[in-house]
Amino acid sequence: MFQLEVVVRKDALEVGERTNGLLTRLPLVDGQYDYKGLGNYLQRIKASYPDMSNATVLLEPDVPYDTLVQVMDSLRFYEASQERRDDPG
Amino acid sequence: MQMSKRAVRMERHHKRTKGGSPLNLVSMMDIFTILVFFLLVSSAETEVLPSPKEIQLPESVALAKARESVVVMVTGDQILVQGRPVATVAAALAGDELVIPELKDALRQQTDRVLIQQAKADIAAREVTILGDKALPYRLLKRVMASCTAAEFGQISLAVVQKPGVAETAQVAAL
Repeated sequence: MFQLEVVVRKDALEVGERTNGLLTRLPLVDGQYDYKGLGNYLQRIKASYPDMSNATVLLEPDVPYDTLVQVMDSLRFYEASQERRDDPG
Repeated sequence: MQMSKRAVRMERHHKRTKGGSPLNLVSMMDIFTILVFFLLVSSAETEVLPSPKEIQLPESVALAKARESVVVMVTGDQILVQGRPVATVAAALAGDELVIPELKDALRQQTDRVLIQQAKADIAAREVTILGDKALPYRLLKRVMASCTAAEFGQISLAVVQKPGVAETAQVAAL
């Protein structure tokens, strides 16, 4: 079972899998978390594992609440260029 | 005394309009009727969530509407349950304990009072909405959430502001 994990570090976003470990690391872009890159990467994972609909978000203690919400948004929705499609994964 | 034509005209005009124009009742009633309907409609849409000035909710694309539930608000220095302060943030962060005892007790009381009609035994149906400031550290959020779980609330929602406008809540996807 593929167990997706998104780890919010102080200086990067990390996407990993519980047993296989780190898949990718998205460093800060202009001092901001790269939510767009995260969305794109998650979309690629979704394409390979269409049935997967669970993800765990792990945060460092000092990460602000706003970041949690933005990461959850990235996990729940993907903004397509033409039309906005609600993606439950 | 000879008056100019203009003065005569003015005097006649003043005489005619003396005592002021009578109140135009018809249009006044129209306006009041519209006002009454407006007030009725606007009061019907009661706000489910308070929108306090001191906290700034994060923005999200979540579309779920806020539901009636117990509201835990975390401001810069205090934690409030249904608008009543129960603990200070400093005290909540002080200990090593994950559960904030004051918050847990206050939430327990809410289960007895507010949710009495709701399925009392059904923990999964009990809802709590957390209103937190954007800058709220996860360390504190985790403790607040742990306290909610300890007080036997099955569903925790995080209040967010929909990208343009209206207050909404997003379901906690995973914890």
